[in-house]
Amino acid sequence: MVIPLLILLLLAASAVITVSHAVKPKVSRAWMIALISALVAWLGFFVLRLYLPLSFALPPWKPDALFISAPSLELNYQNWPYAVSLVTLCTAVILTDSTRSFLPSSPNAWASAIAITAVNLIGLLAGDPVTLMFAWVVIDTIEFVHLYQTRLDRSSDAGLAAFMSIRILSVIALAAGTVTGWLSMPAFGMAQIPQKAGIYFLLAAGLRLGVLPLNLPVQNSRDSKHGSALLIRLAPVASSLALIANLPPGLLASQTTLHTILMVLTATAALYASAMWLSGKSQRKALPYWIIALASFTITCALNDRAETSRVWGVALLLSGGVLFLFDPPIRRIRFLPLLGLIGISALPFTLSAGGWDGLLTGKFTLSAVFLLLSHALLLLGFLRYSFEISRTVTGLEKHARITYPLGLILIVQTIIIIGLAGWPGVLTAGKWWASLVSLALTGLGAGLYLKLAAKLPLASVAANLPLYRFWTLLLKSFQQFLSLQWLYKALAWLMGQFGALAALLNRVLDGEGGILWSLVFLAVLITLFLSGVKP
Amino acid sequence: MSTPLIWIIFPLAFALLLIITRKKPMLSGILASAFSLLLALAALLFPRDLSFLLPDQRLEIASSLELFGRSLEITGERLTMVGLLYGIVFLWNLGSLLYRPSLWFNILSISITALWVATLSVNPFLYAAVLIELIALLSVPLLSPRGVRTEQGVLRYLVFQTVALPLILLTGWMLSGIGSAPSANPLIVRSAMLVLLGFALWIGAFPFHSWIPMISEKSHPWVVSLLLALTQSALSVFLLHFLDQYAWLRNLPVTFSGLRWIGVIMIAIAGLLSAVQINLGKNFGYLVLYETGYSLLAIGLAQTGGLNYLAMLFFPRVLSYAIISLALSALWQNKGAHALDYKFQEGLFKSRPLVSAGILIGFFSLLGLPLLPIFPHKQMLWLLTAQTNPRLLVWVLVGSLGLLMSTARLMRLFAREQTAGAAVQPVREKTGFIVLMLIILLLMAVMGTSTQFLSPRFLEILAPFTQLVPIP
Repeated sequence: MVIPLLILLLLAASAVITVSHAVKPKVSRAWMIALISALVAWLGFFVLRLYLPLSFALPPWKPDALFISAPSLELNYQNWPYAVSLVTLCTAVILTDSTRSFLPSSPNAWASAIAITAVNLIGLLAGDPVTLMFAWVVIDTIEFVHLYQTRLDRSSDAGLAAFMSIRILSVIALAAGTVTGWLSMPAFGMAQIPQKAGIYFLLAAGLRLGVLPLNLPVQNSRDSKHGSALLIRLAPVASSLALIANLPPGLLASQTTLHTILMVLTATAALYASAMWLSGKSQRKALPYWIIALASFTITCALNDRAETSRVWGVALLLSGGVLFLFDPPIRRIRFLPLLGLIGISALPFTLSAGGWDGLLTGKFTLSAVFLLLSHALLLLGFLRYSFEISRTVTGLEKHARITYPLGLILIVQTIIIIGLAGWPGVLTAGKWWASLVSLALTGLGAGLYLKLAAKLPLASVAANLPLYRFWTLLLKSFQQFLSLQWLYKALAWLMGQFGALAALLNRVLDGEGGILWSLVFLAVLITLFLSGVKP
Repeated sequence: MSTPLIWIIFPLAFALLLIITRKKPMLSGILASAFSLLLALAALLFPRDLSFLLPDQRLEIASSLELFGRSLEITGERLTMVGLLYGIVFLWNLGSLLYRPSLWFNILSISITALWVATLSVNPFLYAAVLIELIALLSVPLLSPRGVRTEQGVLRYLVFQTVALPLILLTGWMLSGIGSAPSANPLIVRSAMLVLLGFALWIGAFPFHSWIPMISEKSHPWVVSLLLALTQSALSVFLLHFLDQYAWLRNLPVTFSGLRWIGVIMIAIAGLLSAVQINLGKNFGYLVLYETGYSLLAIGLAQTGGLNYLAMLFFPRVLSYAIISLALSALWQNKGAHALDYKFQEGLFKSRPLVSAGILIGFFSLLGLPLLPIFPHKQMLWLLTAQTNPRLLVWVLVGSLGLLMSTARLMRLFAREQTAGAAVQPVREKTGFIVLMLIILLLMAVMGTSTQFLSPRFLEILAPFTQLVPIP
């Protein structure tokens, strides 16, 4: 019962802020309501850690004899870290947003941040696939409306249709997985996904995360100053990550070729995304690549039959990413705070993500392993780059903001440490220490190379003076073009055009004067095929 | 007093009376709505044994009525279907207050509904074919109002309905000789072919589907959606009559598998063709065909329980049609058929947010998206299909992808805001439109999240078909 109460608390707080602000606007009251509700939820989830696993059954679909679904919410070791991460992120957003309380839109932004958190909590706590589908549809609708309102290019659809189609495709994949799962285990829960259905669930999560197949989210949108804009990008990822953590082992046990192809594709996506992360124009522009790179890590864990280890990468995506992206306005004096976020992503022994290597690297030394090690190093380099690029000193912050702003960031770091220590049984581990050593060495090498070149040349021209710069640029661009899959979408559009032309011809034939005769011809063809034993 | 009198004769008489008010569309619409609501509620609330216990006596309503040597019979079990048909006509008459598609809309809508009720209750039921022909003839003034050129789609509709008539009547003639014949008898196969061909023509099954997109492109969306919603619902139940009544048809090995195959082929073809349309009205026609495919698939799955979902799908489907056609009617208003062309839909999200939302929600609902009312039933149909023959699911998936592509195209179009430098201006919608839209949306949302709301009631539609499915 506590689970829905916490979700309802957040939804109620969001409604209260919206209504009270509409009736009598007062920023401090709205902020206080938002903060208190988020903090209560945050503390609530930490307390619930002591009582795992917990479940809450929603009313089953009736008549029982005709429907299999039994909607429920569940809190277990697989999704608790994500729930805590999400609520932490929400609390941190409200705390750090105190620097922007002068903006008139702030109360609405806080209300939406809390509501988004609540809806996404339903998704990641879903105890059965149908509840998850429901949550996904709501989340996608919210995200679609947000993207529509913030898009820059109004004369085109700015990728909105592709965004929504991919999301719906993921829901269809989930529905297909559910039906496949019901064939062997009716009314299964998220903790017992049947092996046969696993691949559909992986596809559903992969599509939403932009990894399988690689697809980039809409980038043609205004950068909002509010933290809720970050939340709306990161929160939907959480439910997909929670789904991956629940995937059964032996997803593709009998299909080794497909397994290999998916492994290579995922590792390539990770490498590409981490390279783009490192070379991004700004940390905000590079955010989608951060998500794709770490989401690829989680998918790799699932493909390696170690889905439970994906949690560390997922939590790192949300929390380490959160601390870096919420560091806005960037203040030089507290630059060490986002750097502390590295604890979550470094994968050094006895840190949060140390156990993540077990999921990424199996016994064999393969090309995928090389890609993944390289990707991790690039991610670390990017993280360092964006942390060190901060050189501004912001003045004029209000007194309370001088406390709440760093407090929000500290809250995230603190949660990283707590999850790293007691998130679930066995989280504190040395992991594959050699892998973290290799990654650290590669990161050091990269950083050293950069510093060495930067010492000789002006910073702006460092990249341009690298050996074979033009070749590398061309290669990267071609690689980028290839992996952005624009060629595939264009090919599909061309195919669709051809099919459209064919359909138009068919329409003309059937709608024309001889349409009735053509109908009879089609009927004769169908009967002939049917009688000759051809099955459609 | 008898049930056929209440739900067939009275409505026909009332429709005749409404002719007086045809020049006052508002009054006519209100009267028609109130009357059809009354009939719908009465049908749903009437005791199933058709008897009322009064303080001093027991009042029994007769269930049959002799007319021209034939009998019309509406038993208590059939009243849910009657309620559904009058519920549909109530909703559409209510909408007609906003759009007034034709002076004859209220009159003919009630007459046509009464005739559909008669179709489902006439004995011997093969005579229903004549009534269906009559319905087709009565639909013409609605589809092709006075002063408007008769489109080819309407003519083709008439042709197909008329061709179906002798096929069904011929079956009746052949049936007299095959009551006790073995199933291998060639006469049985011929009769089955004739019956199924007749149905294919009536319901617009592939390859006899062309009239549906043709009329939905050129005729008023509110009229088309009413006629197609009534036809699809009533004919699905009428096909059940055939299957329930004739063991020879039911026991033919190809009957149910054939229906399944035709169903999935229709789903795939309608979904794919929907993706390449350039007119919203025509696209709506393909959506109806898509749903006809699902109805046939559900009937084909009768032996594994598919009929339960067929019955529960009726009302959610009608709501989806209503929301789409309401939005299309808003576009059509004062502008005519061309207003539904895709080229005029750019920036619809901004100019008419509620209209665009209505169209997309309707599309998504028919696609079977979660949280919308069709999802629970279609999901179970997918499961039954997978259990029966997994290969069929591929066709269903193809159709779903086609419909998804169609929706994506619309979203793309609606999101574009500027054409030749002119900014899109928001349009103020009618209050009645907003209220009706919100009521439909609310109903859809409630039915989408909870299957126990209203849907189980529609399982009663299956009660007369004891040979086909036991009600759980």
